[in-house]
Amino acid sequence: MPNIKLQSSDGEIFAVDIEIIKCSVTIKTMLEDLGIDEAEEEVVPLPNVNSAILNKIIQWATYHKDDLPPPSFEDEAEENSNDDISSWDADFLKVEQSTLFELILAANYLNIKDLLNITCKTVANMIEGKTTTELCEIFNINRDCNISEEEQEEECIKKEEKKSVKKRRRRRTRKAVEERDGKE
Amino acid sequence: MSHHDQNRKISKKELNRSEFTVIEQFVDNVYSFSSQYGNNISISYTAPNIIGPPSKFPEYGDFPQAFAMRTYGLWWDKAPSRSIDYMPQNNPDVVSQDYIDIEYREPVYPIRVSIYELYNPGSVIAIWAQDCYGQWFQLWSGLPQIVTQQSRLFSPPLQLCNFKTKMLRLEFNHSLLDYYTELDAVSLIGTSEMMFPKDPSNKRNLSDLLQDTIYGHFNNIADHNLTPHYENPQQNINNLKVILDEYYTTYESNNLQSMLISDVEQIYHSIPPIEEGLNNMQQFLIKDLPRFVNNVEASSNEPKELCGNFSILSIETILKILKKLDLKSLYRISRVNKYFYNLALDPLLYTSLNLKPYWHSFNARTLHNLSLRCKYLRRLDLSWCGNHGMFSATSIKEFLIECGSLLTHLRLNCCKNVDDSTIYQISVTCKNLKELCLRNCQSIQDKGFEYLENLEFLERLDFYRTSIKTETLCKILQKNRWLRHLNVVGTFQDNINIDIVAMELGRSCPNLESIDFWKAQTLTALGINALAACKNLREVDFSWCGNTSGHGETLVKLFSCCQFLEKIFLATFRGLTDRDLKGLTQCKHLKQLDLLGALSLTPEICYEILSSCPKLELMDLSFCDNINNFYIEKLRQEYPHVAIKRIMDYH
Repeated sequence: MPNIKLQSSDGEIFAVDIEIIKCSVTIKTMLEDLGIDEAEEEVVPLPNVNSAILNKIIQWATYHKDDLPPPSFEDEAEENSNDDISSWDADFLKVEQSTLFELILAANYLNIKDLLNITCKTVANMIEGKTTTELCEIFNINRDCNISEEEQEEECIKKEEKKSVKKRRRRRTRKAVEERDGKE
Repeated sequence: MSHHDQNRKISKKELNRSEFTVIEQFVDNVYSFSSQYGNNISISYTAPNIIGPPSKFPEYGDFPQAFAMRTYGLWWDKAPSRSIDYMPQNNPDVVSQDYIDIEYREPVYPIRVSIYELYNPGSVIAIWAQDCYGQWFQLWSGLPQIVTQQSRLFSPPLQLCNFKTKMLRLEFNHSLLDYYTELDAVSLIGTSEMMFPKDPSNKRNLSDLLQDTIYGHFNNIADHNLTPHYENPQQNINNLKVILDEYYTTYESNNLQSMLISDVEQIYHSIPPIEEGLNNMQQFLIKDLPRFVNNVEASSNEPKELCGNFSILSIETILKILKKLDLKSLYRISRVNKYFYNLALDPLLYTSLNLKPYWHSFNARTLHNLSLRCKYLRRLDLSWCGNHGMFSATSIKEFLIECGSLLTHLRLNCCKNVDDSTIYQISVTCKNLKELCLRNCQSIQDKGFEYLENLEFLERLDFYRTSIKTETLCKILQKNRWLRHLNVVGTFQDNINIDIVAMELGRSCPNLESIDFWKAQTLTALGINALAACKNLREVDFSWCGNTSGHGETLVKLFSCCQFLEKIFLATFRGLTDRDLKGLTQCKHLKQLDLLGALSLTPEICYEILSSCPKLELMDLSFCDNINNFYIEKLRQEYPHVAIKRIMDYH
């Protein structure tokens, strides 16, 4: 199969098998517009993707080159298709968080549906089960002082959850017991 | 000391000795359930069989006197008619596939629930108790288990609760079962009073102590076969009484006077029941979700520093990530700051909602609050919700008016409140509806079903155990030529003539893919013949259709016309012969075949089917008396990739 030359934002040129990189709808469409012969000559600049990320993407596309095109799912499933991450993909995505976000950005730009799907799912998995404070730490997010009231409440809930479960129990127990005594 | 005080002391002493009773009860009434193997007019394998003391236990095997449900293993999830959850990320790790709500006569503080499993145990995954206000509290939850093939008295260690209950719910996940599970009875053992340890320094909770003192020296904890001497249940009760007498006392006793309330709470994890839940889902649903959905104030400043590492992504991409979250995680991230708060309000995140996992907490208010951001809602699963007074038909109606206009998929399985007015609203508002599942919606009258004639794009209809009538159903079918899946199992027999329905399907629904006629007494050769016109059929269930004798060439015709058949269930199909099944060798897509009770079948036809249907995965040959166990073993050896089922005769 003929190769295509892709140039990353930092100037590195990658020669990739056209069949492999066709998983990118952006590149596939471009090839169809240009004609493959022409594409072979030209260097296609990808100003939004640096060499490290482009390298990762080619690695991913090479591993998945024999994947069947995503089956045309029945509409019941369309929204949640492909949400399972294979073990290879999971390993592949064990990267710095910044790399993961850059991969999402690149997958979006190059329109690689499956890669976008699993990268987004990976971030979603990072969010699941975390408290708000943890989320701020993990994703380096500034908390909004305008909602400090809610913030306090959240902290309060967290404290209650983690430390003073007893106190709440006591309060409620007392209440339960009082109610009980009241009935007697 | 006053005279009065002295009296009290004496009475307390008396109480201290043993002023409580241990009560063991069996089920008095089945309030509700999601599926049963039997049908309404029979007593075999139906839910009410769970009522009363065990009738067969500790025997092991298949007994019609037991309660059995409709599925086992993963076979139904692989069949063409499978229904896929709209929002799988909202599901817990183990999905509840079936439930049964059972009532007892006497409210007690539950100490033990014992489930008499007669056949293929291991699928109970949760036990809930309801208090007198209708609030549910989870007594136990666990994973489905693979256990030895013997009858089992399943008594998992319970969270003790501080209220009296007389209504329990059992939840099931059948995915690990090798075959249908069967239950004989469920006993509820409880005390008339709330129990506390006599020795206040012993701060262990009752659950743990019971486990140590009663179960400790038994080594079969892994199987949760926690009731010792299960051959002699009375002995268990006696043991329990002795232990309670020795170590425990009621609240009114002297000892407890000196006991701090803070000590009491260490014994009872759960005062009141809401307490436990507040740490997790119930807090979210009762407190947080309403607040979450209520605050719709908008903000236009979205400074980039508020999105942290997300700042390099476009809003569309961030939404793509948020869309993969379950409701609780979505709520968590919305609390980070205003930017995420506003993002989490986006109606695009609420296009598919699966609220079934929250059946125990979703009330009218949460439903209303949620409706405020569901303007693009397309798929809604409200199954199991709204019962026991959680919300009314009016709430559902209002929700539909608010956000039903784009709905394409709607599941209201086991919603007792769904009535004619709900169906009317659906027919008016949800014009684009493709899927409508009304399993066990028994409040709908025929008048209600008539409203469905206004819909034209239905592809899936599930009328399992409803009271739809033949004429109404036929009119609906005439209007919905895109129909692909129809379930009319367990509809009330007087109401429906399956032959006429089948003929209407043959005339009006050329796209039909799956049809479930399980136990339809009115299906005859006429109906089967008519179905042959539906060339796209992939799944037929004619099991237990008792009037199919003299079906002549109909099956042969069906199999040769419908070459895409993947699943064919013909359990106890009257008069089934080798000749009928010859045509199956043409069905190259065949994956599942149930021939239970086909008395005259020979090993030869089984060989023929097995060798000509390469995709076959499941073949049930139970009670095929002409094929002895020797052949079954031989088939299993030669076709190891096919699950060849046969009920063993354990009796």
